[in-house]
Amino acid sequence: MELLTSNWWLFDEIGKYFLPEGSTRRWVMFGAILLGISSGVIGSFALLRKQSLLSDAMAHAALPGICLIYMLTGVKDPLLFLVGASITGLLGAIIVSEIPRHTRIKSDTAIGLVLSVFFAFGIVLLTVIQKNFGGNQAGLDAFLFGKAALLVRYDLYVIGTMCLLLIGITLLFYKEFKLLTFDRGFAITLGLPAKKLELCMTLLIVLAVMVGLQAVGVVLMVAMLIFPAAAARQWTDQLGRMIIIAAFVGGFAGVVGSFCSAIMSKVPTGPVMVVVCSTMLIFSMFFAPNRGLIPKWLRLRNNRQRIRRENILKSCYKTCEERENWKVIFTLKDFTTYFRFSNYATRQLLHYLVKKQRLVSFNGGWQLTPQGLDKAEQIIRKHRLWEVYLTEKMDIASDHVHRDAEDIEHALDDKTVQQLEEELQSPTQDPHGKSIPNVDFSRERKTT
Amino acid sequence: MTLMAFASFEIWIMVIGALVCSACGILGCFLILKKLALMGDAISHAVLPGIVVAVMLSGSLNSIAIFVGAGIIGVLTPILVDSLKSSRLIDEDAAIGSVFTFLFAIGVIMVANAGNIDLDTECVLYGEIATTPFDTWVVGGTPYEFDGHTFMKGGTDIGPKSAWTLGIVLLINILFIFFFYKELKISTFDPALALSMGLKPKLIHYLLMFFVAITTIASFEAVGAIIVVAMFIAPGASAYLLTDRLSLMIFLSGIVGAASSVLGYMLALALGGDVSIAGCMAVAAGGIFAMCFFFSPKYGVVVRFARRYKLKKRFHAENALVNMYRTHELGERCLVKNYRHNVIVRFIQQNILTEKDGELHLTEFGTEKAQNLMRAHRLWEAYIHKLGLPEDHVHQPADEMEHYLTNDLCTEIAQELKNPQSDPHGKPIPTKPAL
Repeated sequence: MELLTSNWWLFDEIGKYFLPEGSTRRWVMFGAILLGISSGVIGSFALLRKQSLLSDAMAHAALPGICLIYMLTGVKDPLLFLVGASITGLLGAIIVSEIPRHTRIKSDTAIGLVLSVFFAFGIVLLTVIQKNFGGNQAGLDAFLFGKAALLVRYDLYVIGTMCLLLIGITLLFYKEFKLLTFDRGFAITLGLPAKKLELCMTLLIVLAVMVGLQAVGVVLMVAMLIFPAAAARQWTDQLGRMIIIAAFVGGFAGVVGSFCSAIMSKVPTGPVMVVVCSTMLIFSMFFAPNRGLIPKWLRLRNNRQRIRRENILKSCYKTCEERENWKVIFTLKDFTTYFRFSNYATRQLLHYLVKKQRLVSFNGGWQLTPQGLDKAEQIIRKHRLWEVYLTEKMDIASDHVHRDAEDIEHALDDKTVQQLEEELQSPTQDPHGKSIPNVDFSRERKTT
Repeated sequence: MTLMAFASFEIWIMVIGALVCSACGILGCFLILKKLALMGDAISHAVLPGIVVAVMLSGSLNSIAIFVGAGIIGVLTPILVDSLKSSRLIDEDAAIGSVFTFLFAIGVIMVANAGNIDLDTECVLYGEIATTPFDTWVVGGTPYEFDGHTFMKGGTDIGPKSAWTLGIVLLINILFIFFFYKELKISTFDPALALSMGLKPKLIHYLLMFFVAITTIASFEAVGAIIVVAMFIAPGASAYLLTDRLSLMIFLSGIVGAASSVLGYMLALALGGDVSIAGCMAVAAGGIFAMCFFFSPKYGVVVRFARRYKLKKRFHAENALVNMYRTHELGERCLVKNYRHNVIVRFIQQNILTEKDGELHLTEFGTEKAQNLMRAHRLWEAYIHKLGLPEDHVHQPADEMEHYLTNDLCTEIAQELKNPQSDPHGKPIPTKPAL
């Protein structure tokens, strides 16, 4: 942190150098950030409602709208394009939802169909424009890849206003949208106009896509709706937080994207934004604390290690019990042959147990400590109580209960054990005739 | 240019279009049935980086390297999607969306940076089917250099290169479907059964994706990246609305594909000939789908609506007839003003009614018809009353069943009930009309 503050002037200088006040680059950056934020916000709802690919269809369906509005008016105005694109985009969205309702065609086919046929129609119109309007189609087809770096101030006014509008509407209807997303039936019983609100949400997605088209293009706009939301989803289970994180991811991508294209000549803003977002998604998928793959794997591994350690203690206890000698010394070979773990893994486990003072190293072997014995006793107790429970209460034959108890002994908590004991009226022997360790027994053992 | 040459160039465009549409269409059937329509979309976008890398390495757009690159991406895309999906961190649609947009973004950055490669992005995205017939394949000629390009002198012109490539791809697709028909069919409709039969549905799935990618690449030059999606989906979706048999569906999708190519070219000519022909073909394919959507004999929206309307009309007429019969049964006068005009007119036309002084009388034929309906109604009432329904609950179901019960069924019910004379309400059940 200290390093950062002491070097802040350096970052400031870099900022001033690449983004001088009043330059287009600065405007582009503002546009990209706003776009990233609004697509993160809207994308969160689209993702949760599984409409991510619907936005793809709408984005492609915008092309004929843009062409038609240009053919009708002959002006290249981003606001007019937005209107035209929204009309055909919404039409496409409606067709996508109507086709599966009336036939057996599934929605994915409907999406693909609308996407490609509308787009093809747009391309036909584009060539008509090229022929009849003196080849003046530039600016129309930039819509495919976007032209973030070429945005002029007026474009950015439109983009900025629309983004603020989208965020504002989402905040205004936040509660309604949330309810509709998670429990449509409940929303209807509360008297919410579900159909109208859903249309409103679709319209918001359409607008978000249309605003983004000018800056980053069709395909990459779809990506901007998916990636920030999907990345945010990994970090939280709460919608509010998810939206904030998604907005942050989108905005950050906007900063990096416009910065990269400002300092490197041949790097387009849109694709860089997408690559930044996707990197953040990959990072989130691996490292997010709850859902992330690595934390999940670590939890699984820790659990497995704990079960192995408990099994070691248990086997020690059983051997001691059999020989009626609580001071048996076990060698490494005893463990490896019994458990079939590798030497290395066994040593690791034993090392940990020694560190926790469950075992103690003794003459090149290991011996249970009093604490270790206590711990082992607890596990054995759970095991044998469960065996009793299964035979007595569940009517399971006594030769079928061991395997089940073997699993459950690692999962039962103290409270459940206490309840089991009360239910079974403190049994002293398991179905196989082995004694169940309890407090008295433990005292007896310790005195011998 | 002679008239003959012009005609052959037009025919070649239609042939190439038909080859694209049918090669895509027959594979598209399986994509649609396996709910993988968007995988076709994803692959067609995701191949962009594959193409760029292949072009960078080989230096030309027409090479086997492109097919290799596309094939790799074609298998990689579904593998990535499947692994994202199986991590359960994102849903399937978001997984598809993120994989192809990511690969596409990488592709766009590559295109922007590799300025010196000979990659016409317009061609990749929109296709240039109009120029494909002129790029012909000449065998037995001698190559010579002119203006930096290699041309062939002499030899025999055996048709456009893309016709050959697409023809081969179509043939490969047909052979693939032919030889793996059983495997494809079972793993499409019942993957679990396919797995238990040892048919390797996973392998079949990735093979299918591989062929989708190969076909996409072969079609690129002619129709471009996005229109090819229409070729994959529209013919199959149209065929899906026309038939329930897989083999027929595949065949029909080929036909629909060829038809949309021809119709598309006509459309392009109608628009002045100087427009995107591939786009027109996709629009035609969409048009054919729209026709099937509305007018397919089995699943068409309009046809189904008409069928429902006809049924509703029949129910109304039969209800009116039953009503008239009841009025007569009660000994009351059946007045014209109580019924809708068009119902009466139709009944008189059908010789069911006669009208006299504002009063309606059933003819012999009409009485027989009405008796049949009445018999069905009251027998059903008696039947469900016997099943245990209280007598004040039997009218409503019988009101609906009377339209469906056939004479044979009525006879059986009567036998089951030992020919009852009256219904639970004490009304007489008309006897079976003498035939």
